[in-house]
Amino acid sequence: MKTRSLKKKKILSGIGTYTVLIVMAVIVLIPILWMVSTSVKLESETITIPPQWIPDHPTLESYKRLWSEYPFAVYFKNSIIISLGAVILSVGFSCLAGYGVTRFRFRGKQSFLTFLLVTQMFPSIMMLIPYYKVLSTYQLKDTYLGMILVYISFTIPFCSWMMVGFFKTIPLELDEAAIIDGCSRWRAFRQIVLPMTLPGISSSAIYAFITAWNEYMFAQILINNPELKTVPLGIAELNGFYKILWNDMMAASVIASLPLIILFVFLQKYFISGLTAGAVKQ
Amino acid sequence: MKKRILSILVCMCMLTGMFAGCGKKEDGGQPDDGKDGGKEQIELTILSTLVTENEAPLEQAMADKYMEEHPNVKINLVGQPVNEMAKKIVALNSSDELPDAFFMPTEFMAQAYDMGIIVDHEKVLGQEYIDTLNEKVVEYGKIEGQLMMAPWHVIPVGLVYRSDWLADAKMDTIETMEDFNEAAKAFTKDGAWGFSMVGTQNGSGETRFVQYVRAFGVNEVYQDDSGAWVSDLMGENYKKALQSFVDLAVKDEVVPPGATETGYPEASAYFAEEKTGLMITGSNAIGAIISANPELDGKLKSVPIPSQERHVTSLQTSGYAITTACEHPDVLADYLKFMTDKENAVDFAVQSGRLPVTKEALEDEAFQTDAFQGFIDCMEYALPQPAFPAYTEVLDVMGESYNTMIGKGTSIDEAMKQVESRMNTILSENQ
Amino acid sequence: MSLQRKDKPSFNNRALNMRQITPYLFITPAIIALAALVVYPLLYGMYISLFETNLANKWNFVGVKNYLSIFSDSDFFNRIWITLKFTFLVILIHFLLGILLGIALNRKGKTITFFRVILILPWLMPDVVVALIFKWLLNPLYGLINNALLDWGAIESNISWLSDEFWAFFCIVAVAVWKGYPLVMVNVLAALQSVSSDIYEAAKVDGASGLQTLLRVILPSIKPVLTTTLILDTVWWFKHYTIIQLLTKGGPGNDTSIISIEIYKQAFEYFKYGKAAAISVVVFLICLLITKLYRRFLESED
Repeated sequence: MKTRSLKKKKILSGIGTYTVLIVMAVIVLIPILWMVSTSVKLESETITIPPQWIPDHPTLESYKRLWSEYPFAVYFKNSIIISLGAVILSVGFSCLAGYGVTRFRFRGKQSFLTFLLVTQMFPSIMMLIPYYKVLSTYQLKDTYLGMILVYISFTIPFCSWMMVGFFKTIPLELDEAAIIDGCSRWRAFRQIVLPMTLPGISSSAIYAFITAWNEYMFAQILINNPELKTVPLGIAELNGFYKILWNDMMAASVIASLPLIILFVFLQKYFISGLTAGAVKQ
Repeated sequence: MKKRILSILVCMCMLTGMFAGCGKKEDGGQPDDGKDGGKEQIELTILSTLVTENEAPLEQAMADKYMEEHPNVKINLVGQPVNEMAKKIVALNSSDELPDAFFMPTEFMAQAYDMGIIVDHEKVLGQEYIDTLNEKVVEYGKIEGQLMMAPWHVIPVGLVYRSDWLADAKMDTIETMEDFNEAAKAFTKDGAWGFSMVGTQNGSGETRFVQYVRAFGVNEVYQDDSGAWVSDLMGENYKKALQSFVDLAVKDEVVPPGATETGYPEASAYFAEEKTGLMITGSNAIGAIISANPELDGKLKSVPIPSQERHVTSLQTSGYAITTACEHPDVLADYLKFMTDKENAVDFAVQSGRLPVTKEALEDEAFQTDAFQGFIDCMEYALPQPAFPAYTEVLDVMGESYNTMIGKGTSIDEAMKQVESRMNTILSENQ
Repeated sequence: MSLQRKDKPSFNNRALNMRQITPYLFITPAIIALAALVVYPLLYGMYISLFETNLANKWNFVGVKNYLSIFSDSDFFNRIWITLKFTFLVILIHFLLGILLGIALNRKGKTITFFRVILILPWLMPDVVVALIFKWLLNPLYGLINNALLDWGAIESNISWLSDEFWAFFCIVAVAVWKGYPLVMVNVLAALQSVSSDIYEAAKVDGASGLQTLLRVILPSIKPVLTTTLILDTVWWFKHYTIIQLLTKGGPGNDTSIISIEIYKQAFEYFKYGKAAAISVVVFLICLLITKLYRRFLESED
């Protein structure tokens, strides 16, 4: 009797969950499908009353134009290099910082954590010009490294704080035991604790990648060399002061989102690994 | 906590000191001497805003042609969206890395003058050349008597309308504001509206609105005999102009819905899609509208902005500003002159609607068409933009007044009160 | 691997290492990366707030004049109020949605993977694109939303969403929610995954109801992650610029004129960098205050 009602409850909560998920998915998908639909329209079909979901003459012209008329291949290469660089550095640095903060007591720990937050609080628009001066001083202007450094300075605070949060959820006994077993501090960190924070690492990595991939304002000011332009700058070029090419711009947006979607599909499976890691903890 | 913040600040100061120190040292070590050999190879970097517009290929073609004629000159046109130009120039200047020239946005002229980064163009271009330019255009490109750019093209603001719709409404022409209202009402039927209002509060809307209120005899800001800055915006004429502009959208409903969120791209799309029949706009809209809807070719006519008290226009003079960082201003000037010679300029104007700046080219018969005639005619009514330091703020005050009245239903008295309070502050801060 | 259980060591026991250099080695890379880039711009911003400057040849020291002129302007307080209202609503809905969906997605299966991918999409889109898509959907004449509502008979005539006093604010909040909830969702999901699932089972065995489990067990177990997300999400949306600038430009009137739009106008339309920097410093202090309050309430320990 009791098991049956439990089962019923489980089914009901399952239905509830999926209803919520489906409703949200619809809200999310309408604008995105509209974007895809616009991207396969002819320019003249982008403005019709009433608006059409499926155009009369679907075409991939916009996508072709991105590669032939605009140097989107170059923009992609730049964006990928810069974003990957930013992900690797910011995740690496943040894991170190997260481990250091949660595993040690030391003078200045709170100051360090506060400092990370403080860097996020000044309106970024007023930092544009000084950032330019800094990069120029280091002779890093118009280099991949320069842009990577700029983006990790945006992402490290959040990633580090996140990693602190994730490391906190992992019991101290674990690396304690490892060290007593004769592991070095570094090995304890790398081989025992780090693998257990894979969900945290993947969510930090996704955050860092998205931030670097989509950033527009700083790239606009800091990049002078057309050879180094990133994808958001390319999208902005499709959107002039006097004209907006909806179909081309939506096609560019679709293409710009693809690498992120692929990355997410790849990384989201690590969100599961915590379950098995949890078993080890016992 | 206080102690902690203090210690962070101290650390930050020390670090900055370190980096600032480094910076100074490195600055000295990096002047690039240039490779002045026997046959000089000259490279010019120009920030162009046309790269994001339809005109990009036309400009590149001109640069290519010039480079072909002058093999020792290499011109790099670097794209820069116009909205970001001011930021970019300020950033570049902060590290002494200005380009040789950049496309001068009108809003940035006063600031660029203030920064002292622009060469004296009258000297660089030569008086002889200046004399071939339309006087109004030159006057428009000046701040405090200094010509801020080498004028390249000019966009007069006028009224564009559908001549076939006007004929249907049994009207001959639009000369006064009454005609304008009558036409707007006649055009509003069968899912179409009379007037493509640009009602956004982003500069684009305001510059059109300025022309509208000027036609009512209002001068938004000017110097009186004693040299003090004064404004007509607190007066009856402005109130009348504001009310009549707002009425178009609110009372007469001759404007498509959502006026305050309709920017230039949307408004011209409405016109091109035959949803509207009147638009206050620059001459470059002609090209954009016809390229969006070729069937409208021959159905467009332009006239000066209808008068209540007077006809007016603004001449949006555009051109490249040569910076003080340019090492070869004479070569650059030669290229900029090349762009304005009759053949190049007429060609460019016919395709882009951006009119030439030389007297000779303006008289070309290519502009004796219905579509362009009104824009050429209106040039004589041009009033220069006041050299008021906070001019963009004045525009913002005007933008806010019509924007709140249309969007929020603010009453005219409240709107006028807000105008008065903001204008008094601005005027007192900038005497 | 097999791990021996020793006596439970506490933080204090480990304090014997505290004078060592090891912990600093762990945080040095992050410090250097940030100090090298962020510190100078921060101080520069504070510095120019004391000047009347064009950042080129004019540097007039004016002391606190910029601050005085901000605080004597009633519009400024109005803008801060709008910004607070906006941030509060956006963050509240972000967390409600994010936690709900994060928990819903915390299970295995092919369908769940599918929903995970769909629901994260808004986060992947650049701000500029999000703003432009919504502007297009909300267009009074060509917009999908108006046309759909007209078809269903829900409205009788076109609504100009972004120029209506009530709807404009509603719309920017809605778009900000649409764009931002996945950040919370993903972090909640990741946090739940790194917490052992046994404690939920334990709670269930104890007969706790769903809501009780949520409040007493799930949320506390992911509190460190939630706190971080809350602090930074608040700070970011408080300073947000792009989406609102593109959607309403602060209009109609000043109804959606959040503070960063004003900073932008002062700096790059009126070219009053000093005043813009002074407003930025005030924003900075407000963010600092919010963070302090959060931390006081949320971080009782450590």
